[in-house]
Amino acid sequence: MSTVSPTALSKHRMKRFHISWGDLFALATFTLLAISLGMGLLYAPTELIQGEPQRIFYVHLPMAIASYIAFLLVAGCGAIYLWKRNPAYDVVARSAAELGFFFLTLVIISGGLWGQATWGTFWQWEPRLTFTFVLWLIFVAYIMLRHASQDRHQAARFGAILGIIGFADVPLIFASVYIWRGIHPEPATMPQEMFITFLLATLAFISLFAYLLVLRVRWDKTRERIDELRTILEEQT
Amino acid sequence: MGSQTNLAPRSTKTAYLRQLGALLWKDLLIELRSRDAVAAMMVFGVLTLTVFNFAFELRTDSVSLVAPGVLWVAILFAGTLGLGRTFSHERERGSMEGLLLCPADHGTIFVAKFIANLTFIGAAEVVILPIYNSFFDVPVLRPEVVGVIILATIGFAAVGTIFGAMAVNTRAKEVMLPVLLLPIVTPLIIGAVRATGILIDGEPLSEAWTWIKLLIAVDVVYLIVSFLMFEFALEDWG
Amino acid sequence: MFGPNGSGKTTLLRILAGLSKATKGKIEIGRFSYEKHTRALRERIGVVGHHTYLYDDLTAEENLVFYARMFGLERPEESAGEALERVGVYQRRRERVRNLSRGMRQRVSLARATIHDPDILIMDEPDTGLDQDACNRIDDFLALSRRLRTMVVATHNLSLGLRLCEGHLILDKGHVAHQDMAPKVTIEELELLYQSVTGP
Repeated sequence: MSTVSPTALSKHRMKRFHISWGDLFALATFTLLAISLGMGLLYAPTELIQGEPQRIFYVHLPMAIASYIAFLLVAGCGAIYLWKRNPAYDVVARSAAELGFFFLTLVIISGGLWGQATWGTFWQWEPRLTFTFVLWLIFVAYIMLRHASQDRHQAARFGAILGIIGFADVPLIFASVYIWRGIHPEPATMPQEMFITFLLATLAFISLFAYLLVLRVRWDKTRERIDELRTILEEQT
Repeated sequence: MGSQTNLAPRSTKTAYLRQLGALLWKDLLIELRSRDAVAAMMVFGVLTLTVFNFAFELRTDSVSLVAPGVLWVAILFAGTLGLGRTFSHERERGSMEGLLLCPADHGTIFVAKFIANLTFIGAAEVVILPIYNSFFDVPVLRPEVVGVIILATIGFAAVGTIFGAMAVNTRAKEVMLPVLLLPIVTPLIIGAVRATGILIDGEPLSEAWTWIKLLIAVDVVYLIVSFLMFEFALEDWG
Repeated sequence: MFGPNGSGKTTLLRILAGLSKATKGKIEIGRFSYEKHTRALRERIGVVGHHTYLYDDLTAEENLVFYARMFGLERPEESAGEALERVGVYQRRRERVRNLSRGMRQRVSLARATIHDPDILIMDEPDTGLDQDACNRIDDFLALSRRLRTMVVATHNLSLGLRLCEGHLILDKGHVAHQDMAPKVTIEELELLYQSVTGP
């Protein structure tokens, strides 16, 4: 996965307005977010049964999807790292994990708020929430494992192992949690306006995730470079 | 190169089995002598049951509702404790490095450790189950129930082996293993508790079949993935 | 291999033994590399490290039998007995390693490292923590070993190094500060060389 370096960005400047591709991407992301949130609040019709609180789903569900993508990246990049041993893959993996954890936390909170408004309770052991929570715990375990590792290489390796095992586990967790509550997830039928809003919102949040991921990866690389320079300086004195 | 009289060529399969046998014999013998892991598991398991007895007696008379959960909490917590210990003694004199210096596949080491761990947890269960039976007056000593317990323990021991190897090399050894293990084995917990619950309620095996299928799927996935990933867990050991 | 603490001796030995992977560069032993010929290399290399690699709860004999089996030796019990005799621990073979002195444990570790008759014996500071008597006993064994196999030894003891090996490396801060594969130095010359090369 290639990262956009600061120098590469500056090459593509539109001279008149001093805008780079990175800025354009940020603009697009935030525009999409604004539009979809606007649509979610105003354009999409009010759901019959749940009423206004249902609108939280235009945030809740897209963020969940972004977290699943994060999980996929953690496992996938971890696997490639184990194979190729290129540290760049590990940077993406750990960045995706942090972001995934952050997004998933918001998913749980937004889900809870919705539950508070609809059922009167913040938490219910129903399949979707339970599944999300277990995934969240695996993200927590990933971050803790890396933090407790003795060095960078071990952190990368162990992270990759956990990512892969976790990923293989996801269908099992899904199956067990849903059979447990005897509920089979059914495809939802919804009016076109809702569907469009969902689509746009999902696009917006995936875009946000990608943007934050690139930022985080760049930050990581800059920090590594600083550490490198520091070591070189120390050796010379 | 030097004299090779001691390294007579033999079929790889026999060599593999010999090494597996040696590893297993070593782990079982050490456990027999030190009584490190199994005793701790037995004691901890029984203590957990005791605490549950006090925890629930005061509030519920329908013990049968919580019964399967109580059993599995005891087994899981005791098991996690034991899994941690079987790898910690490999760290002491650097013996895992000694193993890695031998011409043995990581797969062989995994299988041996897995079987050893399974045996140790099984031994603890042999003590925990009858005591649980008496404490809570729940019929667990029937073949179907024992079968389900063995099935679940297999999957638990599989991921427990690889996570145990990893956790022991981190800075927060004791804490790390449950943090890794418990979220991952969620499907196993759900399947085991449900299947056990159905069976001790006297329902026929066919009622629990969905859960048993789940447990089998869990075992297969856990065994395969743990086996494949094990070599990465052992890399740069120490 | 000589060098102050932290110069990288242990790291280099670990890479040679195949316990760690080099972050850059390759290791080749003969024509073998660890990526392609792990098994072949492990069968021909013995390692004595900072740890004894012995199981405390097993007897010396049981430890050796275990390793003999792991190396695929035909008659593990016999090989174990012979190995223990060579290092002079045969009398105490039925005692648990936990109960043996440091010197004896080191000797059992030597027996373990050579039980499969390796072509190369890698040793990381084999004389650490041993008293004079224990050192002497090991010396004899090592002198014998020297004739049978290639020795790669990291040590602070310059005379030990000179006696056991034909060439030497001096490491400092992760680099090879000096290298001489067939030196004709006296111990005094070596000491001066060491001081000058490792410096303040």
